[in-house]
Amino acid sequence: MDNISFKAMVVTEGADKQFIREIQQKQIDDLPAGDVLINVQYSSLNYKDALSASGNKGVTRKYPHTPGIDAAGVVAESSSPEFKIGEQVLVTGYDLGMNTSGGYAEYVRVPADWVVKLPENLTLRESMIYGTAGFTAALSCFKLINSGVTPDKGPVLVTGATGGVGSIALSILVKSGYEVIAVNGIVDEADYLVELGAREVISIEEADDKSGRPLLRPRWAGAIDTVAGNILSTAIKTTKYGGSVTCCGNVGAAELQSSIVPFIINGITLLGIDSVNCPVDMRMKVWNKIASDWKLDRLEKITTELSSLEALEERIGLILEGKSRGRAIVKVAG
Amino acid sequence: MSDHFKALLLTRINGGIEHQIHQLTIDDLPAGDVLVAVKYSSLNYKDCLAVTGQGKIVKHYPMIPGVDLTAEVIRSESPDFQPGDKVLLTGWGVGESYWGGFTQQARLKSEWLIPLPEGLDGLRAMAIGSAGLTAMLCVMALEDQGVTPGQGKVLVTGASGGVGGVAVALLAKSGFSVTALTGNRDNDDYLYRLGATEIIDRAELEQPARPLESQRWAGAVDTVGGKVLAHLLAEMAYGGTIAATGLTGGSELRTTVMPFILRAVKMVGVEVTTCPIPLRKTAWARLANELPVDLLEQIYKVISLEEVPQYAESLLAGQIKGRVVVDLLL
Repeated sequence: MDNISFKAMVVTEGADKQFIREIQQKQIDDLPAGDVLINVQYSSLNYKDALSASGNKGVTRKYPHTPGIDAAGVVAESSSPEFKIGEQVLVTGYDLGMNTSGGYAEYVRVPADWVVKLPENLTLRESMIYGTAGFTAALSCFKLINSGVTPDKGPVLVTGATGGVGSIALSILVKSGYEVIAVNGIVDEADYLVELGAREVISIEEADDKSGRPLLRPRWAGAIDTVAGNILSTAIKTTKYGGSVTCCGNVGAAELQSSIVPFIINGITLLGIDSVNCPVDMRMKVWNKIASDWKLDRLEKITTELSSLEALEERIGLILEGKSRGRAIVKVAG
Repeated sequence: MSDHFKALLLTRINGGIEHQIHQLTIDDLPAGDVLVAVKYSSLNYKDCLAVTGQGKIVKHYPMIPGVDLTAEVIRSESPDFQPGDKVLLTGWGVGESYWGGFTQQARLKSEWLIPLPEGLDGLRAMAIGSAGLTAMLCVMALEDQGVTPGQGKVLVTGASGGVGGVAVALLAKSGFSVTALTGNRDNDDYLYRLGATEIIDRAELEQPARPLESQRWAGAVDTVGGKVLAHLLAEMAYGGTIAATGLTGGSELRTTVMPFILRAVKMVGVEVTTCPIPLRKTAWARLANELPVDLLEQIYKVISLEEVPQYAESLLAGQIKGRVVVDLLL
């Protein structure tokens, strides 16, 4: 393909350690080598994107950089027999948008094994409403359910329920017949959570036990934690005998100050969820669930669509403050 | 059958816990629908805490400790058991909330009892005991989470203890390459005989770790907890599973979510006391079939009821390897 120029967000590190985000023209030759060149139609905004876009070196080591850990689009060029020009595909995770030029650009070029064919019954736009956050939520639900937490065993707690991962996990569980108890956001979003199907909404304070006791009254059969820190520790010690807790992120804190007591007295299982390097067979299983049984009827309720890369700016600030609700997708090209 | 039988009774005197062998009659026993003659009990970590008055194991006094027993039914009001039946009991709060196995006779609830598993006699069943059952449940937890021998090495911490020894033998028998972690290097020969292919010193895992270290273990059975568990988490391979079942090294868990969120590590808590009956029967049947008798013979020693207090002290001090069976007829 010709070395055409295209629009991309570029984050640069200024002399004073300030990070500047600009929409610039890049060229195809600027992209890293890879098997598949994709013309990106939609991307999405995840917490990790906001970190990358604001200079978090734990996510992105080198700047200038184009963030965007998710991309959905059309194959423009492919050296892999797996993918043909014009095919609709998506990429989430691996190194996309971390140290590989990401989805906040009209083109990405990636290794073939990062690429997933768009599942039937899902549009490119819908696939980005899920994105990494939705995939993480679905993977969490998949592992929680597989560990034996069935709806008859009791309600499931979802922490950080107003965020992208939490909103989708809540919705999938409700759709699958679970009673969900949702932890509210910093901004009161109780109405939104009830609208998504939460049976009960509890405050962050209630989900953040400061007593120091190793066990509390068991309240739920399982929990999907999306924030970590003391909220995760609290979820572990309030889960019923034989229950499971998933953990997938560290918006709260990377430290986990817990106790072995809930594990050995209540037989609790803590399931780590990684969507970034999730093996491809599991990845396909989960995307197919997303596109079939778990396809949400009211996706628009959780969605904010940003009309262009320029519109990302304001939303990046909100997500870093923990004030962004649901999922934001961005229309990149097309 | 004589009217009197002996039992190790714990009493609270002036705030302290005392243990003494008493002569009891069946009128002293609590209510229950099955009266049994206890043949063997065993000494688990929890029993040692109870006997020495530590760890808030015993819920009320006076108490007969002993969380395990094998016995012969003397009298039964339950249609499930007949006089002469050989039965096995582990857990259910016996030796903690209800009188336990350190006695020659006991009156028990029939729902706690299972028939002695085929292929095991009373002595061997107690050589396994709650500790061995815990080890089996840990191995089953690793299997359930998809850990297979092809994925890499598995680590057993506290390998010189009762749970650890049985776990090493079971995992080695299933084809895993087992590394044993122990604080007592005098036990190396014993651990190699059980099937360990490598032995490392506990001190190595007591060191603080970075949130993520080199990936070493596809699976682990942890009987220690505390610092060792925190270090172990940082060394788990992508997608690996820890079956966690002990807190001899402390109940606190100070770690990070990094192994969980970046390496999809799983930690399964294994609880044996109230493990449901169907799972219990499956686990015992597997123990009867899969634990090689020649290895089991190396794991335990037999003591008398009178020797229990002294062995309890030694076991807590880490001076006893493997399992301790209490023979009530000695």
